[in-house]
Amino acid sequence: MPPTAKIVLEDVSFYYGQEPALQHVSLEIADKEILAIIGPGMSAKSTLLRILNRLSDLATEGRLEGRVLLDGKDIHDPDVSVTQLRTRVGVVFAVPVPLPLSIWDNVAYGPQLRRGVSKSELDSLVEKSLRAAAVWDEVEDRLHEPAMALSGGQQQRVCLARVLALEPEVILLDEPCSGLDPISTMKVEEALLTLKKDHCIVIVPHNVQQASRIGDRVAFLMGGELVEHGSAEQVFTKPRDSRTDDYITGRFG
Amino acid sequence: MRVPRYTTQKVAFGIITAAAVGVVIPLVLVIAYIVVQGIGAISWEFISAMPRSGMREGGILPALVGTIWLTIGTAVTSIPFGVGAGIYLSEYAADNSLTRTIRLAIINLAGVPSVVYGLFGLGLFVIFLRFGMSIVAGSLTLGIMTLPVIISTTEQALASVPQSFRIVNASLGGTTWQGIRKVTLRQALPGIITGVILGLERAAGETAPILFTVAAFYLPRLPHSALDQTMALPYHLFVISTQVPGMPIQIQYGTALVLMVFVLTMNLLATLIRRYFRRRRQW
Repeated sequence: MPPTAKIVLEDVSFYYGQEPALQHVSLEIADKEILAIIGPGMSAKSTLLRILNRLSDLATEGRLEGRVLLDGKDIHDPDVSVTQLRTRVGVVFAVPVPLPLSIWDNVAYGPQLRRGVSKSELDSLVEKSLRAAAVWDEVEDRLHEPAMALSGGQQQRVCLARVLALEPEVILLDEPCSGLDPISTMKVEEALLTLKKDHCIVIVPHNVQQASRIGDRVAFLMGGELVEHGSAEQVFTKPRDSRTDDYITGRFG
Repeated sequence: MRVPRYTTQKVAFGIITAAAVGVVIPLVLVIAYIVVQGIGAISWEFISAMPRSGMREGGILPALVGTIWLTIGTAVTSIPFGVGAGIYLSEYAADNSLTRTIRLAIINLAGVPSVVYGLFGLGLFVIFLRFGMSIVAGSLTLGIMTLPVIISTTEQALASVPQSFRIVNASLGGTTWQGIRKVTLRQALPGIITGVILGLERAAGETAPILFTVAAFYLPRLPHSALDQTMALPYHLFVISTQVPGMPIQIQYGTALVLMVFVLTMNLLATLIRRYFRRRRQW
């Protein structure tokens, strides 16, 4: 077990109506590491991510069982502010969704929702975030142009910067590179490797190779069940479960 | 023997093209007829003077001013409630029996004949609330009649904003209201403005709802206050077309022309606003 668990899932199940998605998952997620969640389609990988910042609340007829602890505190406790939770646990989606605003306004969106952040603080926060997301050099001259005019790869990195501007403790990424070219993918991965020094990162990679490139730990989900998890090295070289072996060697999935 | 596919297609295109062109013909004819018949009556005096000699001479100023006041009054009463209800239904309302009842009520409200609104306004605003025949009573009546249009266009305009924007707002720690204010409402604004103007435009041209609530048969002065009666263009047109013997036909069509220009100007405004915003929209 990792020494400092940032997030703990205790017997977590999630249902869409009567349809079970995630089933009895218990998992500890360490701080300052990258956890890659792999598995074939329909394994509830995205559901697992969305549970961690309670975006799953938005699912109509969604129902959660079990407990999710962030720093030892149940995120569903009534005294937990869901909006504050989401600034502590940021998420980047598979398809980049820039808001119909300028690049600057997109990145500053989260911090601006809180009160009392000055324009100059925002300016430096925007620059810092865009630099950390490895996209500053490409957009610094057009910060006030629409974010939607950027290329897909740039949009995705701006969306990453938008999450970084929240100064989150945990970053969730749901196949963030699925639509990106290899160069943009490499830039995002490099950014993540730097970010993990002071963040807890959970990523659903778009393929097993990406999991092996950047994952410190790997969790293998199948049909909503956690088949196994462990260090990337262990899972990829000595998987304990034959299904994991089949999946990572490409026999299915 | 089968008819070749391209022949069927040509026939089908022919028919639907004819239908599309056919729709335009009555509109053009109506406008052309009113312009030709009425243009002779139009002068500065016609729109800036009081009516004289039992409305057979002079201008239509009080009716024009009355209609402008009623349109503003309708806007003031219907926009806050209509847009508010539309936002509620689109962004907040859960799908339960309460909201289904509200939706049903709105659909039925849209189907109520305008003369029924007139009688309702007479009963509630003129008599029960003692506003008397007044601009306030007329505006409220027209406002209620306009509500369904504004509510449903607001709801539709908001529904057309991609759901992903709302999820992004939530994922960045925004409340539902912050998302509405900063993203969704801004994107839906052109649709809402268009719906509002179209609703007001219909209200400006209505006769029945103002008949019992505000419109004066003959009142050759401008209204003193919101609790004053006033003449209004649609009712004035009805009066001079049916109630005044020996009415010069040119004045009737001149009045119709002024009313039509007033309504078409609002329409044009709606189109321009929509065009302006659509050009700036990025999705």
